[in-house]
Amino acid sequence: MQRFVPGSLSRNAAALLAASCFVVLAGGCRPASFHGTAYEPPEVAPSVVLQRANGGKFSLADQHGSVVLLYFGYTHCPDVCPTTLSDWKRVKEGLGRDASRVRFVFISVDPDRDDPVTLQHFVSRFDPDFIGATADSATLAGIERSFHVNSSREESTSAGGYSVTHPSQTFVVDKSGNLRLLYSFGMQTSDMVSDIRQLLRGA
Amino acid sequence: MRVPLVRTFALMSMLAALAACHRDAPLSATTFELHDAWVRATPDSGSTTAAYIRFVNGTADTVWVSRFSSDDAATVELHQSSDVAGEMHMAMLDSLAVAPNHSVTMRPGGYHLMLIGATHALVPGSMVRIVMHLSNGAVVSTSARVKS
Repeated sequence: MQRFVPGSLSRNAAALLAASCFVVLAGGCRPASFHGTAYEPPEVAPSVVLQRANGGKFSLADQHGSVVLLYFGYTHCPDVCPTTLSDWKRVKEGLGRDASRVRFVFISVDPDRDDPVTLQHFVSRFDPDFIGATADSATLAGIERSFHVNSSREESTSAGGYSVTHPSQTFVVDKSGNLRLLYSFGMQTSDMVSDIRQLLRGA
Repeated sequence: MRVPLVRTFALMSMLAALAACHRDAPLSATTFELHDAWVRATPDSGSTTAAYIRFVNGTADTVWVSRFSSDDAATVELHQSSDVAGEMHMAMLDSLAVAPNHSVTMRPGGYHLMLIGATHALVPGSMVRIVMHLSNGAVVSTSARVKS
C-alpha cells in the first residue's frame, strides 16, 4: 500500500500541467484550423449506400479509417462537375501516398441517364481510383434529404437535353465517419490537401 | 483580330449596364479580341465538354457575341453556371454582352460554351476552332487548346 505523501498530488498536477502546456505549445492540442467550412460540432455522417459499376455496393459506413470526399453531380454536366473531378485529381496528386487513405466519391443525381457503368467511365476519365456510384431516385432523394441538399431536373431546349440543378459543395467525412467539412466550388486544391492531411492525422 | 466598331443602341447600353456585374476591369485595348481559349479534354466521340474564352472589347460600343459553332462538335451552345445558395444551376443563353472597354472571362462555374457531341476524342494539346458571330455582323474564330 502506498503512503499518502503530503504535497505530492500538487507536484504531480503541476508536472502534468507543464507537460500539457508543452504539448499545446508543440501544436498537438491546438484546435484544428481548416480552410473548408467546418461542421461545429462534427455530425455523424448519414447512411449512404449506392450501386457501383462492378455490381457491388458503396457504403459510407464501410469507409472508417479513410477520409471520404462526396460530391453530388451528373455526367451530362459539362462545366462544374468535370471541374470538380479535375480539382480532385490535383488533390489526389498533392496528397501523394496519403491518397491511399482517401476515397473520392462522385454520386450521380441523374439516375435516368447515368447508370453505374456510364458513371464509372465518366469519373475514371479523371482517375481510375475515383468512385462513381448512384441509386434509384427514391434512395437518392433520401440521401439528399439526410445531407440537407436538393437536386432537380430543369427542362431545357439545349441539344444536350435537360440539366440538373445539384449541390455545389463537396462534403468531407473524417476517418471516424463524421461530417467535418464543406468545400465550396472553386476551393483551392492546395487548401484541400492541407485540410485532408489534418484529418488523416486525426484532427 | 480587328473588327469594325458597332453602332451603339440605347437598348444595348441599357442591357450592358445590367450585365455590368460580370465585367472585368477596364482595358486599354482598342479592338475586340478573343484570348486564352481552352477546351476540357474528352476521350469519347459524341460526348459533351466545355470551352472557355476571354472576350476583350476595346471598342467604344457593346459587342454581342452569339451563334457559336465548331467543326469538332455537333452543337456549341452558350451557357452560364451559377451557384445560388449552394445549388448549382445552369442556364442556356442566346448571346453574351461585352461592354465597351471591358472584358468578360468565361470560367468554370460561370459563363462557358457547351460543346455537345464531340465529333472525335479531344485530346490534350490539340486545338479546337470555335466560330462565333458578333453583333456588328463580323464572323470571328479562335483556336482553343485542349487541356486535361
